Amino acid sequence: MKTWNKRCFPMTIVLVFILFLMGVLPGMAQEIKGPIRIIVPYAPGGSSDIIGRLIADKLKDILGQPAIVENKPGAGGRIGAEYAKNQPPDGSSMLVMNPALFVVSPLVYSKLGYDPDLDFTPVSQVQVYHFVLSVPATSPIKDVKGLMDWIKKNPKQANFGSPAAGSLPHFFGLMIGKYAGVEMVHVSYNGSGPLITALMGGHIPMGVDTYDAQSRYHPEKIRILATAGTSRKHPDIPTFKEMGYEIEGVGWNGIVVPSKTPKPIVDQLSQALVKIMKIPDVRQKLEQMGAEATGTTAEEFAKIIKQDRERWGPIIKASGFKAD
Amino acid sequence: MYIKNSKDFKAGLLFIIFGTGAAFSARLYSIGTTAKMGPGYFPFLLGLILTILGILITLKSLSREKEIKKKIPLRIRPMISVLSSIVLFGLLLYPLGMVLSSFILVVISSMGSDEFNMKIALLNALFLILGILIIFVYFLQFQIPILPSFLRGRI
Amino acid sequence: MGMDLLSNLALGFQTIISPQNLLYCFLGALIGTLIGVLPGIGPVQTIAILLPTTFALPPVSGLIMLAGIYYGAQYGGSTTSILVNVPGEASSVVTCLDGYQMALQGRAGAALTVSALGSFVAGCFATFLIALLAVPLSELAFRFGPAEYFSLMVFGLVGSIVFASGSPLKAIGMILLGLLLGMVGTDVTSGVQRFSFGIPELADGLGFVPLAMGLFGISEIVKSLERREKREIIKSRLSGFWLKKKDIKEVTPAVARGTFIGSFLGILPGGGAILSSFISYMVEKKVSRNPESFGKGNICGVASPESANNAGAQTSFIPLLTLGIPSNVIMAMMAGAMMIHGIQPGPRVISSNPDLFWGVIASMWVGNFMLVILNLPLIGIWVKLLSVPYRILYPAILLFCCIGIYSINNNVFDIWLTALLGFLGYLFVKLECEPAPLILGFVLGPLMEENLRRGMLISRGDPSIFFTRPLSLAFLIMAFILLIVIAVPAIRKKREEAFREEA
Repeated sequence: MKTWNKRCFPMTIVLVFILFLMGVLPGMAQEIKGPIRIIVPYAPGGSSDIIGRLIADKLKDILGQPAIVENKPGAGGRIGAEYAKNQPPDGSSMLVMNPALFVVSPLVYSKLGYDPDLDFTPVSQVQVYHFVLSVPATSPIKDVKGLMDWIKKNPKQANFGSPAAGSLPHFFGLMIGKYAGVEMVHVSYNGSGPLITALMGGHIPMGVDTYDAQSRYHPEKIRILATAGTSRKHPDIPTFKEMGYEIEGVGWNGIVVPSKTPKPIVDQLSQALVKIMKIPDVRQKLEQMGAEATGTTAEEFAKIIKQDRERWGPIIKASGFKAD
Repeated sequence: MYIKNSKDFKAGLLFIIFGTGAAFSARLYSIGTTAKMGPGYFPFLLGLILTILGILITLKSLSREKEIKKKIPLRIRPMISVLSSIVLFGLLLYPLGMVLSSFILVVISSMGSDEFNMKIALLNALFLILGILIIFVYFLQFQIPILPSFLRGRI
Repeated sequence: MGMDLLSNLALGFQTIISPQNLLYCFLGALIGTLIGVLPGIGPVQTIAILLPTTFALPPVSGLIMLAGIYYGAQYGGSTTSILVNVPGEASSVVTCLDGYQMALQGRAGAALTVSALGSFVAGCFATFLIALLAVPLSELAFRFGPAEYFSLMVFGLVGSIVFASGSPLKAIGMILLGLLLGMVGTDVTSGVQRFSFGIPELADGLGFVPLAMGLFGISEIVKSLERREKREIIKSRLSGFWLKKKDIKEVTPAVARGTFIGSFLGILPGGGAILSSFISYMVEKKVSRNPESFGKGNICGVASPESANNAGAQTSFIPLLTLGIPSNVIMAMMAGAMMIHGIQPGPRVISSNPDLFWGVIASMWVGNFMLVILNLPLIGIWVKLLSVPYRILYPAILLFCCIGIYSINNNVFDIWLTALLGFLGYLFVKLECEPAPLILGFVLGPLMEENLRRGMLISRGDPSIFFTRPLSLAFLIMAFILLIVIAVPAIRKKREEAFREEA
């Protein structure tokens, strides 16, 4: 019994000490220890994945730590978000986040596996994509004013398509209907591809999606009436604003980290992201995709999220949309 | 009245269970109208048709004659061992990692066979795990936990 | 046009013939075949995992390799379906029906050979079709609105009764059950989650791979283990890889029909390619002189769907290459691969990156050729695989399934789902309910519902759109005729039986 004590007591102390260090040190750490994982809550190949990979590629040069993308797809990104909130809050894990997960989901799910505000800290908004409204090229509608007139004259045919029910483009379409004073019927598709096909075939009179999803198609088949950002996305396509309509709609991708991540680390990451989004090669790649690099500070990003809630919240609530 | 065809009888019952279950839970979602069908419309209708079909199949399986039954002894071991090995693999993948849980899967599922032999099962597991480490982990770089969680560290 | 085509093809072959591209084409075909052969692991996971690797390659090489993986995996998938009855994706479910029966009868070699050659012929034809008519064919997709899709799905569903070799009533029950299982998850039209019981993993619906694995693979394994006797598959009858003259004569028209159906349906985004193997099987069974031999190892039941499947895989590139519209998950990932290189998939690709466009098309032909060269000698090895004792083979199948299923979403939930569906599949075996109609209902159901509701929304509740649009009407009429063709013999048989009893 004695020998047992003699041998084991010091070992226990050492063990307890090690455990203590393991528990405390990560919390105390003020610098990022790699490898860094960028959690993308979607399958590879989509826009979130591409931005994640672009960032990972540059991040490893700036922070000197290996950075990889981890895809955690499912349930429209909610599984990945739930997974990300439980990762160690030491700057080694971040999540690619968007308004669907941060703004819409909390309003339409009665049971959500994460709380955007309590579980995450915003780091930087990295890109925005403008919403567009387009009609088939064969359509008699030539511009936004013509569209508003057409909607008012043909309320029975006023259907609009969006890439998914409960997506921001869906609510953006409702916003346009509200502006025209007509309750338009929403026809949802299973993604951007089927929506474009239906639009090109003239099966629906108009469609709402992001610029990057629609701009690549034949101008002979689709006419983009207007983009919904603050500035023009394409020199020949006007914005709603300049046509005199107070309609604005942009989506974005941003980076967030688990909420307990220490402030200095958040700042360090945020500075790195600001730097990355200024690299010409990154900007050019996003431009080619039809998106736009931003790279905001953490504070600016938090403000954008707040503004978006104020903008979309009332529309989403008014639509009565519930997902579960 | 006897059950002439017990397989059809049970299949009919299965359809009735699924059909009524679907129809009832479809009532949780809005049914809508034919012009504007809600999410409950289709499942409700399908559940209803399936129930009717199930009743039909059940009734058809009844007859005044008795079924000539071939007694086939039910063997439960293969099913239990195969299904439990899969469930265990799912349970143990995160805590124990791929290597150990694969061992468990191969050994337990092997027990379902009449020719079960522990030595062969273990060898088989060893060989398969090596193969998986080479193909999936080394070449294809699957994102799968390999070691038990306490040895893996954070990732 | 002719000259253009020649010079375009020449450009394509110039691109593919570079040693680097040839290497990646070969690598893609090889990886695809090997991955496809492993049960439970299909092109979707493989491409998802290898996609980032291709970002480092030049875009042409990357796309050529991904395309190689795609059709390579399709070849490999048929091998697994034939040998062990484990379908990797929707299209190989059909191959299981007769292919596995052939394997049980000792004709695995013949089944594999006909599948490889049929796929090659189909692939060549489809590639030629793409080169010649890609742009006009892409217009076909625009003709398909909700009414047309709905009617096409109705036709497919009516046809799926043909898959039943037992009781047609039970087959209808299984179709309905499949339709219901297909409803699980987020409803496209309303965004509401149905039958998901608050489980986020069910929000995307039941996965196809867990379903196919449960209903086919696992229940087959349990069934085999229950038969006490050792599964001495055909060790004695390994000969006969090659097709007999009679087989070739029988199979040629089937391959032609399959190729034609597959090429046409592959173009349709959203479900077209899935339907191709099912519909070609249906057609084969209907035109055959002895339809009762289907499901019991009829070689045409392998040849035609395999050709259709490969032709459809090839032509499903048309919407992506000519319009930038990805018609399925894999094409969406390819679009991502193009975008990361700064190439916007779309109609401009032909003019802005002609080497890429024609290079990928030429690579399809080269890749198909490589696959045949690769696969014909491999058939011997695959067939030998069957002589591996079953007690070693089936744990391996289970393990690969589990790892493959996990890697689809990096989530263990799908593994449990597989076990549950495996139990269901076992019940079906015991109750003599055939799983193939269920799978078809599962695949087509959501598409049918979605398009019906979309059509009714757009027409504001006027069902006449389904009857006034000519294409839609044509599909409905075909469905009706098919229904009569199926029903009449059954009724006549009944009456004859009744007469006999009276007499």
